[in-house]
Amino acid sequence: MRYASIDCLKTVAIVVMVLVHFAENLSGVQLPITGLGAPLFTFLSGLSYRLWVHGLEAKGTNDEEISKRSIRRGLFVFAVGFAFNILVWLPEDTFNWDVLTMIGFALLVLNGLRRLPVVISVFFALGTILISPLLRGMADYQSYWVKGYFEVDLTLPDVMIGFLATGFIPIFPWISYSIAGLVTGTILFRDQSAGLSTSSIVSSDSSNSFVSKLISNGLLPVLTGCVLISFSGVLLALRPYLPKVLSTHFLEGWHMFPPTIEYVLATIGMASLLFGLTHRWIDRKRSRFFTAGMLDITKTFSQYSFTIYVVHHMVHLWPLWVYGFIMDHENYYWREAMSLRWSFPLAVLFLVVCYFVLRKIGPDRRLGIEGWMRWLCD
Amino acid sequence: MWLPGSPRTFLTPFRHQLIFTAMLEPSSQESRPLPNGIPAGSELLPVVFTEDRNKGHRLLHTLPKEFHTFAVVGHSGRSVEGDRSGNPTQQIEFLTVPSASYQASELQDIVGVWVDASTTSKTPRQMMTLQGAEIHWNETRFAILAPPERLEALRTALIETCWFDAELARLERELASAWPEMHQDMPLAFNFDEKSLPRRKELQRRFERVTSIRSRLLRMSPYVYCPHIYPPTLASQLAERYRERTRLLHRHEIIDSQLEVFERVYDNCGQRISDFVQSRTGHILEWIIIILLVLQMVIWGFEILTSLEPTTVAQ
Repeated sequence: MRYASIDCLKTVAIVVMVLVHFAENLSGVQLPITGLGAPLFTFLSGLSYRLWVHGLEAKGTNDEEISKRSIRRGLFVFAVGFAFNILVWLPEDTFNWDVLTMIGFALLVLNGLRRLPVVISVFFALGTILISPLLRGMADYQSYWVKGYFEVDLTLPDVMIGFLATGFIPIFPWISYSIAGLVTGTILFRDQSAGLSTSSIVSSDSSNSFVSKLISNGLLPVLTGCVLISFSGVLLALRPYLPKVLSTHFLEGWHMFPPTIEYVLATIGMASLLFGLTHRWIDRKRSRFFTAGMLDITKTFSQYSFTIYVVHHMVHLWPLWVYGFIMDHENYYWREAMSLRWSFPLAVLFLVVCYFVLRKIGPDRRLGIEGWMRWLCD
Repeated sequence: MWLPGSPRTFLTPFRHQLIFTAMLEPSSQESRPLPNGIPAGSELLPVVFTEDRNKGHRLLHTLPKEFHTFAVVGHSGRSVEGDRSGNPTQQIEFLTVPSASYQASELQDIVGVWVDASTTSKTPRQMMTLQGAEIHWNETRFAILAPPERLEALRTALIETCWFDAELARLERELASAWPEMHQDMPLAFNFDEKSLPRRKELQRRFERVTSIRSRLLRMSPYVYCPHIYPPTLASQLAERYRERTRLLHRHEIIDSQLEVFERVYDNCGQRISDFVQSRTGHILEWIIIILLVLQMVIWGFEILTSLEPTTVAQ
């Protein structure tokens, strides 16, 4: 089943990432929304995975086949991540560990977690968040980062360390976003896997606990999001008063690089809150604010989110690389090609053109990364 | 002990549990207009079976105490009432016509037309004659033609027996509607897994419903299977004939055998759920230990990785 709320949030994530990347890579400006797109995107990847599994189960696909497809999809996205690094960031950044390699690996892990009780996934996600500062401390995180960018020697240990803890989007703690999405989907849409109508679930659970009522009302993600954001705020506020061991090695303030505990908790909370609200206002009670035209736009962006993620990098980075190659300087105009006055409208123009091109292609044609993935993996 | 002139029930082996109230004089508010051509002394009463006895209602008969049900005279304007569990209660109309000769064909025609005029009944009219009494009935209307002195006894006998008939029909309907659900639940009697966990409450409710049906069925058994009363009375014979005509015994047996299938499925479901929930708790603990070990191994492996070669800071 397709949920308009997920389409809307994927569109938001893509728009945020396009705007942030254009502004950062062309103008060297960090927008206030920097660091909010990737968490939402990875959270939604876990949520979409759960819905995809539910869809296959509803069609009667057996568990082994789902596992095979999940693994093929995970490896495909992982490989696309490498191809993306090589083609977009050039071969020397092959192992910078971007979001695609993380999502690819996460799909392999989610395939294992999808059959386990939710509490185990939650425990695993918490574990990955809590040991991340430890791993970063052991690896000396800052030594891998030069002028705000991840630089790695092509040695197996450094590559592995980058993959696990010090890369752009390392497994620890970023996999917790995908797991959080999976858990949210499992709890909220469990009626689909049980083959029951929503009404029967509501009626069966309505007489039970407070949590059951929250689930049936779709308010659990909202409450979870609020709790996580508040908890992160409390941690940020308390940090100056905590012992130095904790305030420097465990709670490191608000950073995306490295993704601190406060950042991870707050952004998971944000993703959960946004999903809870949109699910309630769009999927359950269609708000008048969301017209059919708007939902059509979000559906188009959502169906091609991976493709847009790759293409928008190509569109704004390749001209820089080509010009740098001509000028015999690889990073020529890097972060200083134009002012924000130009890069921002260019990002908007890209999104508009993207929308019309993708509408022209249509959702059923197997073009773009999503189409290739279905062709190869399903 | 039965004393002449005192209230008496004719139907069950548990006579002492029954209260037969001889308050059968109609009040102007309760009795309904009689059909045209019906002789004087006739009475038309809307009878309702209810679990909550309202003092405003006139009590006609108290069913055996395990059923907690009373037959009362319903109000004319209120055709259907609800019982304690919220189930709608069917109202049955009883027309008692004093008749020395039931073979009066004109009278037969009138009561026949009256019974047929029922808009709520889904069954055709049936007829039975017994020792000077004649009964016409369908699902919602009973017309009794009998000598005046026997009318009350016959009506009471029919009230109780038709309640058993209606109750059995209700069980049949409940079971009939539960078959698709049972077929849906059948795989869970063999295998219960994580995905089925949200259905636990629903299965529990269905198990309870099946148990409830079994309980109601068993409570009726002594009355459905009760042997012929000796010495026989007209009322007791009428009730026996009615039980035969409505095939209460066979229907009871069929429901009993159908329930066995339901019980087998839901017993096994309950067993599977219990086993699964118990093993799940153990598995969760095992998985938590495994995750802790994995995280420990990650840290351990990471320590080896970081100690293999000093990190070179890129220039």
